[in-house]
Amino acid sequence: MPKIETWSDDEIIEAFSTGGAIKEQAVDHLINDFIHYLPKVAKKTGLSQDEALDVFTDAIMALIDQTTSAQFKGASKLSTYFYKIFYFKSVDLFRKNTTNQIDYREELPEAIDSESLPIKKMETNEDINQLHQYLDQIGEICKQILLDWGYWGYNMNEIAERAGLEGSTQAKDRKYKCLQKLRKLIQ
Amino acid sequence: MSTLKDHQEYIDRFRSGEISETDFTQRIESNADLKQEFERHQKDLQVIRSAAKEQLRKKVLTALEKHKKKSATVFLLKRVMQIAAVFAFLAAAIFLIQNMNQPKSGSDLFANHFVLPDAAGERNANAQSDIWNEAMINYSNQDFKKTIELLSPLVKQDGFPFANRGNLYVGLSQLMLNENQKALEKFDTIDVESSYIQDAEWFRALVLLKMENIVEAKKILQKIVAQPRHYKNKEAVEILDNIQK
Repeated sequence: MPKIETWSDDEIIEAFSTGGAIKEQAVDHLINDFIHYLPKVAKKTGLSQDEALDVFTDAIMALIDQTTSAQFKGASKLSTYFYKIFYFKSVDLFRKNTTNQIDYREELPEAIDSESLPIKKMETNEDINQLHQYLDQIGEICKQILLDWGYWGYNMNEIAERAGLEGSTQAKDRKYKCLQKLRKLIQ
Repeated sequence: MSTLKDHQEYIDRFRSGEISETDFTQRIESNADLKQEFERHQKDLQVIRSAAKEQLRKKVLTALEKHKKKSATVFLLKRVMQIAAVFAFLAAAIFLIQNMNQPKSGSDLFANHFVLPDAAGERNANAQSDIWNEAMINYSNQDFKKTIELLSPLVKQDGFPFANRGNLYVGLSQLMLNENQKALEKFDTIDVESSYIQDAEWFRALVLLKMENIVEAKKILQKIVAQPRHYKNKEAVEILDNIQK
């Protein structure tokens, strides 16, 4: 595999689908590659740095979802597509913040074409705080195992290696127990 | 009977693509426990996703801080370069202004204004004319030593009609051989009534400039400036302007 800096959009999307370490590498690369949009869009839309950080993170996750679920047709460059997601999500939040307030920002679009660009509604900060707190309560190793399995898509052998377990069977058992712990907390 | 662990393994196999969507849907519809487990699984993933978002947010924050530092460095570097460019421009401007205002050296002025006159031929068919013509040929060929050898005795001959012109060419040849003092003295011998007196004055001024004797050169140049009809009047003014800066 060539250096990640030289990966094409297709190779990055393939890495998302493959999951595991290669997905993490691709995500890290995109974050570093697109981070310069953050201050620009924040300035343009009037979001605070904290708000822009949330929206940017959400946009990265949306990009991964949409490219792996084939919603992304490849008609534009991945960077352009990401910028659109990030920008529209920012505008969404800006409008939400300024509901019933008079807005003189002429450059903001009148309406967001959400039909042509499927964007999942951003989770509110409150939701996120509540949900990820459950994972914080099941211990660091369990949290990492569940993240590796449920979000990053590592296979059981890789999870075992990363968590210092003996093999995939032990990793499966551990994951099962971790899930049970989590479910007890949620109930 | 399938256990909860079996259901989870089956769901994992579906997620990894081992089981087709059709098979999975059929199985789920016929197995209520599996369906319930799948619904729980979806909820689990939501929680995990929110934790993943937290993890990603930290990565984004780190990247943002790195980007800000990099941007600050680039900004600083740009500023330094801009300031350096302004300084370089100012230094160049100051250098130019100083050079413009600085009086030029005598030898520079000599080099800027000295033009060696062409040789002058004689058409009379006599011995003197032959020597004169030969001297002029040598002068044209820039053999100034030979020119002096031929002209020096000739100009001393009684009744030689071109003595003043001859002395001028001897002086010019000496000047070209860098015998400046001799050239100066030679130009001095030219009769004030002669039509070559203006040349003599001009070249005397130039020789003095070449010798960096600015004070004496100035005196002659002022004399030229005082003669509105002098053929080097304008050039003399120009040189004086440069000297007086």
